Amino acid sequence: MAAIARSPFAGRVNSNHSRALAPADVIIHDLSPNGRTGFKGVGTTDWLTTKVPSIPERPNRATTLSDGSIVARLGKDEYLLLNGRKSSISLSAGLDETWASESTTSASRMGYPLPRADSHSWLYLEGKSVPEMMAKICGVDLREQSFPEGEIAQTIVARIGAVIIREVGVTSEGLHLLTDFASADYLWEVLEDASAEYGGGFVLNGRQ
Amino acid sequence: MSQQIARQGLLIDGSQKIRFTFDGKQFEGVAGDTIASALAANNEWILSRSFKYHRPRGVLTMAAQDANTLVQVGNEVSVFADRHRISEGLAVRAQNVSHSARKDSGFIMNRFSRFMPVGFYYRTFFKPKGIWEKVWEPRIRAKAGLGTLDINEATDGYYDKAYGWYDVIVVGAGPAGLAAAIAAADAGASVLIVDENPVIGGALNYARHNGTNDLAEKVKAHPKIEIWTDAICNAWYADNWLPVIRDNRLHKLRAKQVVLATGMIEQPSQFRNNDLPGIMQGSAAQRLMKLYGVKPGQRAVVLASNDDAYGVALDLLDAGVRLAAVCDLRKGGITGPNRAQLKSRNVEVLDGWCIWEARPAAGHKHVDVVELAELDEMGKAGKLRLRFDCDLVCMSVGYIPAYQLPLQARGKLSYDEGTAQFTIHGQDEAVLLAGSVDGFFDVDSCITDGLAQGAQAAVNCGYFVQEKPSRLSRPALSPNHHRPIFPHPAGKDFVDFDEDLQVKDIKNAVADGYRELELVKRFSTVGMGPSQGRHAALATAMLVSKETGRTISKVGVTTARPPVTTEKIATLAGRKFTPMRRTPMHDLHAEAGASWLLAGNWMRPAFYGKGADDRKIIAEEVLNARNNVGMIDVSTLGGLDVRGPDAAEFLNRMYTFAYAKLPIGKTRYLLMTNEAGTVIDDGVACRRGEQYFYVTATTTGVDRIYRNMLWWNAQWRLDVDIANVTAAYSGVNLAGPNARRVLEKLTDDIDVSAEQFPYLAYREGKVVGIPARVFRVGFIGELGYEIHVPSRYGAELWRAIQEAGQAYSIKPFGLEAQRVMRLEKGHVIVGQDTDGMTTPEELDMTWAVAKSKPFFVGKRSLEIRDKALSTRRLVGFSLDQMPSSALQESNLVVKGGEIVGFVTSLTRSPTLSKVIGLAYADREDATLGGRIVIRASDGSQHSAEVVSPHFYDPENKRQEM
Repeated sequence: MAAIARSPFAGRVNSNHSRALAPADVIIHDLSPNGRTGFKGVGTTDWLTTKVPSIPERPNRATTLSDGSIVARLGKDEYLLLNGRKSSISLSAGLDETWASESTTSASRMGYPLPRADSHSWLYLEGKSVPEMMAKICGVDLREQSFPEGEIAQTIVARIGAVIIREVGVTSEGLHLLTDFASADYLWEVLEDASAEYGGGFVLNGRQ
Repeated sequence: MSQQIARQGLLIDGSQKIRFTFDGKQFEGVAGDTIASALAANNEWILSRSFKYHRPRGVLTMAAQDANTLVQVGNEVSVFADRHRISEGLAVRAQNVSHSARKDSGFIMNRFSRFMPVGFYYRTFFKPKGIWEKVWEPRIRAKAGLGTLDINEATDGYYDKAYGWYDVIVVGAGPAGLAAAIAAADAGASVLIVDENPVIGGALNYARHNGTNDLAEKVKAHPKIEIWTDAICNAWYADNWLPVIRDNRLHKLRAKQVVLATGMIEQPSQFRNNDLPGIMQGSAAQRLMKLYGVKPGQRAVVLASNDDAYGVALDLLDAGVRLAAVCDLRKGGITGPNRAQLKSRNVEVLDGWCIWEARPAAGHKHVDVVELAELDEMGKAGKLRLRFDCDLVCMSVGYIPAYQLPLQARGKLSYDEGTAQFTIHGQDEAVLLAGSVDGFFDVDSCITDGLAQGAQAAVNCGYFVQEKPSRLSRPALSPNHHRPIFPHPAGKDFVDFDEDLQVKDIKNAVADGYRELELVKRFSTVGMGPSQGRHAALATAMLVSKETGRTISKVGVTTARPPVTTEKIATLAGRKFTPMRRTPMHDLHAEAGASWLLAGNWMRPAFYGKGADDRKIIAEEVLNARNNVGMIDVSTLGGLDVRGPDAAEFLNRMYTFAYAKLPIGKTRYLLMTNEAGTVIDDGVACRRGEQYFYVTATTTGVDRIYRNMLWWNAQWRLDVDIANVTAAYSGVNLAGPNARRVLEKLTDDIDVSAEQFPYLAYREGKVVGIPARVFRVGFIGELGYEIHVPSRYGAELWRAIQEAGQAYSIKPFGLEAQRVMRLEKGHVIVGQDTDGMTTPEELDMTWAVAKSKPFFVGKRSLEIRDKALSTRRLVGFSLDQMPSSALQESNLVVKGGEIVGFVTSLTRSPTLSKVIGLAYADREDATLGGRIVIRASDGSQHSAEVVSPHFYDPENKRQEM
């Protein structure tokens, strides 16, 4: 079996379209090779509370764990979990395995896993002009004063569904953007076009 | 009209020369010049020709408010010459002219104006029958239209859109707008100030006013205020949604509060030849002088009815223009600081005089002489006349509020007969008016009002204001004359410059019975030109009021709809977003030479390779799958995980078949109907566990089906979780007699033998080490396995299958081959072989309807529809050969001259070597061996035999092997 880390942007990243960028106002990192998962359904919150140290108190909020992993609450009983980029432990893989093992024996409801690593691509956008660039493709006000740390928007970006997260505790202005896995090539072109005005674009390697 | 004053103006840099052409002739302007100001600086005063009579027209407002200044720039039509700035080499042309603005043979129409009374076109061009199409329409079309667009020329740039959010948006950066912005921002609000001019300040930049203020500097320095100049707020929509055009970008802005400080629009007076070049608003002359350093003439007549006119006269004097005469429509008791100042400079003023007629220089190219008339006690022109030579007439007789945005914001107009003033009230509660648009005229009052309204806007946003300034009362006097209209017996006293409408045209429209203003507008076209009645609405209301004996308030003005001013289609279109989805195997298909087609928003291979004959390629793909083994990317197929204690019950309700007893590890066909019993989707349900179904849906239908499921369960409240996992899984359909041999090379933990993995079974295991969901299907009528794996591994799976299948001559096949094979097998495609009325019974698919179930969506409707069956059924048909007039899908099925159905699918079957198809036909003909008649696109009719739709392997031996 091949390595787990795959990205729908791989073809683009490896092509001559991408480049090593000088510091710019919008930098786009492909984090799709990093692990992520999701859980949804009755009992998810109760189960997840026993597995991770911190759960957001309400939907559309995200918390960052000590290893940099992000727990994003998308609904009353729906969660998206993003691995910490620097963490050696994969939160998502651990939770998937634990769920698989406990679901066969547990008498309690514990929701259902969602294949987020395969349904959603994952980008990280950083730079001072990110809100301005996003205003060209998204109708949600993503400026820091309106969309502070820990906020989540489940919305439409350039006519495709998207989950946008402002991570807690990250100093640079940045947003996580998760969208349809199959629309990655389209999204690439949209973001290349939208970021060009700010001298930005995709970088070759995922953000560390 | 000879030498210009030294070019010093607020908006120009006289040291930077710029050359451009107008109608092919070269001119020189300076940086910051508009086309109109640069031409004026060159004593070129004719910018355009009028719409109907081709009369020469020039500067009227210098504010991009009138059609006089519409010109063509490159391939862009109807550009405001008094807004568009010149650049080196800019090529400008006049519009609607036979040769040039100076020389236009169409001016002969001016002589025939008496034969073109108001509404003449409604009464003239329709008789005798047919003359409109043959004679008039071609000629009028050749004459009409503004500018010439070369549709083959490349577009002029990149246009896009952006959203924006503010606490307060102030429209208009005059004194009131600036004050409002400061007050709101001081309270803590985020403020955007939008102005269509290149600099902020509004009338402060050109009008004569006492004292100075530092509003502009304060605004520029304020950290909470963003300034957009050269930006046009082109509409107001509900919830303070404002489209603002700035360069090539349309900004879609939201504000908690909007302050409209849009100011006033100066109005012309109506007298004979009031449209001659050289006759302009007083504010236009001031703009030319102050903003662009252009002397508007040498010898001027000023028509006054307010003190602003005297400011114009003073400015003219300061610029070195001689005053031939200043006449005031008012008589007695006239005061004002500017008037006093003018009088102190020993300028004679004629009180109680109007302009009776302006006379043109040769060729109507400029005003040459003005004849004044003393007004009688009734305010009409009397017999006493005076003539003055002049090359400039400045009119300052009154204003209307720039009411377009306030009225779009649900405001209503009232007219105060005492002050001759329109007032606005009742606009949306989140919209405030400030300054002269709300009846305040002097600068100090506008500033005071702006401060009060800005503070109020901040308070309305939730900010605290220590001491909120209170608003002033509207002044008792206004600068507006109650009726600056002086009809001339010889006409040409224009009310609407855009449409060449004279005073008598409006009167005649009323006389013809069109008493309501909206009807007068439609009959006469007044206010329907590019300036949208900015300078015609008040005069028209005054005339209609007089002719109908009603007040102006009763008459009102016509509706002010968006947009406020011209906007380009490119601006509205913006950057196009067309989402496209690709499967993980996309690059591999491309390498294999796929020809693409769109299925929904998915890019799918239609077939592989390019040749002279696509059909041959498709036939080869079909035959290889039939005889060896083929593979097709089915990743686009919809995938839904349905989980929970009520999962089976949920499927029972959503679909027509029964699923409660479906064993784990088995699949069952799915057919979905809507509430009307119409077939809307199909797929396969795989039972993965007692409470877990993996459900497929059609490529184009899955998103709708997913929404459908959520919508229904929001009502049913069943304990089930539904997840759309379409993009998360890649799929390959491995099909053909050798499919089993290929698959068994790829898996160790799935027993693929016919006994252990029979038709319609579902298995899970690893295929080339990848966790896979595998089910036996028969869509194309061969032994087949659909293998679904997480999308990350889709490309790897595809490569592995190709490699393993090499020994069996495996070849990929595209969507076209799949469509052929499914038709040979007689499987319907929902959406292609069904329409908005199709029932399962019409498809002969009642086997997929569990009538014994207490409920499924559409059950009740189907029970009713079953009692009165439709007259049609879907039948299979075949012909030995394709007729020379090739039949096509959608061709009609006819019977006795009536349409009884249509062809839904049709192909030349490579397997069966004949033409086969599906069609809706008369139910009476839906018997094997019957005949139907198909009408080809060329009208020829062809008889076809009704046969079983299961053209290929009707016993299903191949797919069940």
